Amino acid sequence: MVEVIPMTALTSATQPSSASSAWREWLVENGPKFLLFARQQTRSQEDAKDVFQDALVKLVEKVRSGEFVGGQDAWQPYIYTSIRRLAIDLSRREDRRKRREDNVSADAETDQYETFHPWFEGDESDEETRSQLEQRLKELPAKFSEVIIMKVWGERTFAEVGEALGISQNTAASRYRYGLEALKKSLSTARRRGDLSI
Amino acid sequence: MKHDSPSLDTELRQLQCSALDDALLARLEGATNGTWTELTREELQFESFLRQTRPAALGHEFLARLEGITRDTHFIINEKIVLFPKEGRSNSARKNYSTWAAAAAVALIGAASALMFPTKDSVKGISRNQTGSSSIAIPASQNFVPAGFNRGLSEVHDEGIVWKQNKQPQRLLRFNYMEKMTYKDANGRSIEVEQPKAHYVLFPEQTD
Repeated sequence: MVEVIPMTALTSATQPSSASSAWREWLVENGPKFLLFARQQTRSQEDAKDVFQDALVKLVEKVRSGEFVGGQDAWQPYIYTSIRRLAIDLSRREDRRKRREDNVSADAETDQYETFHPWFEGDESDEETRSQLEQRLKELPAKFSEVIIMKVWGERTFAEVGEALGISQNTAASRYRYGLEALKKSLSTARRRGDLSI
Repeated sequence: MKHDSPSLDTELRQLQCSALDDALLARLEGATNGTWTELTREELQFESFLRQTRPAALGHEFLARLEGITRDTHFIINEKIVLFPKEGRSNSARKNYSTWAAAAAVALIGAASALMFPTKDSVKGISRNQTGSSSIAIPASQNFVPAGFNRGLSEVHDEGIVWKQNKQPQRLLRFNYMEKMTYKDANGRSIEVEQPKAHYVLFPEQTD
């Protein structure tokens, strides 16, 4: 007697070479968004990298141990939340350190270093747009720019932004609107001055 | 100027709270009716303009560092598909464990359900192999009733990949059983009958 039972519910894929390439693909696609958010949350490119890396380590450890609740869809919100928390922790540590040290020269060095690590992609033709956008985002209050970066480039919903930042989705939408309006005005001013051709 | 309490109270009462501006009213209205999170066409256009400028790609060195972190970690595509890393002894063991654990689970579930719910079909058309001194058929008149069932899993074969009509590759596993049914009558006599059985189970196979 022969019975054929389709078992779609119990699946174990066994293409072993796929995991590393899948991770790479995922990192190439989403890494730039995370690094941009980390960059906005921290004071330097190196801090941003450290924070992003630590957030990824936390995710991987949870996935490996089977403790992670939810599927791949939940990875991005988890990384955003982790980056923010780690950045706050780092900022507190940095503040304590700065109180102990005279950091004027270090800040000057950091500013110079940052010019070689732009937040956005850009060739010569849109170099002005890129640099103006980065500058205006840096000038915005952080509570506005973090929402804009998560929504525009992280492609998160207001509900997801709110959850990551610990605010309601309506508050996230309000901050987004204020920030967007401020950014628009700021970029329009730059355009009128001839700094930008949009 | 000195005020006594009653006159100060009157003056304060005459002050009016400033009215809510239109923007705040619109925000409150939108928040209460659930439309505040919906963007206007103009906002969407500006958002689209901003999105044209893409975040800077990860540097090769940094990407390599991140890949080092994810090495040896399985990648979850969805709730049904998990990709396992290629190298590493422990991961190889885990891969095998998952496949055979799933297969064993299928076998155990089948055996348990059969044990709990023996049916007439499970003894219909079986080849009989009676234990005891004499080889007799099971006479209905002697009122033998089912007293036990055991689906003994004897072996599992990996039959390889098969392709279904929807182009989805499936791994075919064959489970061989030797089902054993025990009957007893009112006098305590028992009869055991055995029946070989095979189940074929299809698992969707992930391919790149």
